[in-house]
Amino acid sequence: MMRRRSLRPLGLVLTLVSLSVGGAAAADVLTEDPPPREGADTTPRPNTATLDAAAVDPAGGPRWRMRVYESQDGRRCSQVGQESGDRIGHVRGDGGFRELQLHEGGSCVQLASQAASVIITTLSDVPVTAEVEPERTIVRGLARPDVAAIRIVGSSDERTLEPSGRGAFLAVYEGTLTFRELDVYASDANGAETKIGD
Amino acid sequence: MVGRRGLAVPRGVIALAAIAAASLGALTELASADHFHTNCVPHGFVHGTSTGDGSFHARVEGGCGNPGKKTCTLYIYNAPYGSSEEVGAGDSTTCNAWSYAGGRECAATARVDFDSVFESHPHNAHNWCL
Repeated sequence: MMRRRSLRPLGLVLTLVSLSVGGAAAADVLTEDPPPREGADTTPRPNTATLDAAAVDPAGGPRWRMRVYESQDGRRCSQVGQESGDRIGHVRGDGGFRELQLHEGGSCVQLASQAASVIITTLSDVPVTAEVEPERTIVRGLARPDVAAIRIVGSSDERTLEPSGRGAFLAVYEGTLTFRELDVYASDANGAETKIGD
Repeated sequence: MVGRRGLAVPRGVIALAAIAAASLGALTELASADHFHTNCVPHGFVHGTSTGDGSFHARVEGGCGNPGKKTCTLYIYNAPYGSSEEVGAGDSTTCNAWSYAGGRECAATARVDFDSVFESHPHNAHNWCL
């Protein structure tokens, strides 16, 4: 009579290995791991970040502020958020503050190939949070030193901004707007204008 | 004849092993989801300081001649998050929408679009959990 060898030890080993590896994968999903690095290096070169252009909130909320820095790959970059001391981020209705960390990177541009850049950011209510977030449109950018002024033409108003020493400009609007509703122009010292953006 | 002892592995252990193996397969697939890739330019979902602190970004790098408008929009639980950014055609600037109000990072998606370079498409968080 043939006796089949017991598979019990093998089964137990397989079970333990599966559980341990599965557990490790689950831990990866459930815990706060360092994120993988992606894309171009938009992280800042040391000692290049400064708080720069500012704009009032249209509903009297905390002031908006740009942070400008040079990236590791030699581009000029910016982030934007509401100001809290020497930090920028998001100020909630209850006064709590979520910081936008410098090292997370922002939007970078190589100004050798263009006179100015412009970015339109829209913020509106986040359905999964308890608070109702106000709608805002943030128009910001960076310009070369030969750009004397930035003119933003909307349906209800027109704003002319003077870029900062590092070329930063910032405007904040109530509601959500896009390039369809806003035209942005850069002008040189002689007043010659070029349309930028879409 | 094979005796009862020949069956060796109890059904409970077999079931447990099957569940663990299935979980491993599913979780490995989730953890390796395509959260960021390069199609002419690098783009996708970018985690902030960690994969679970609620700070994350939808990002499209400039490049490929910047022929069209770049748009970056965040979603959470497959619904619009409320943060979007656009950079016009001809502008090499990075498009980078930030999760200003926080939220459950593993349930977040970055939807990105670059006219004349690639169509609008989603990238889920690296640790996607829905």
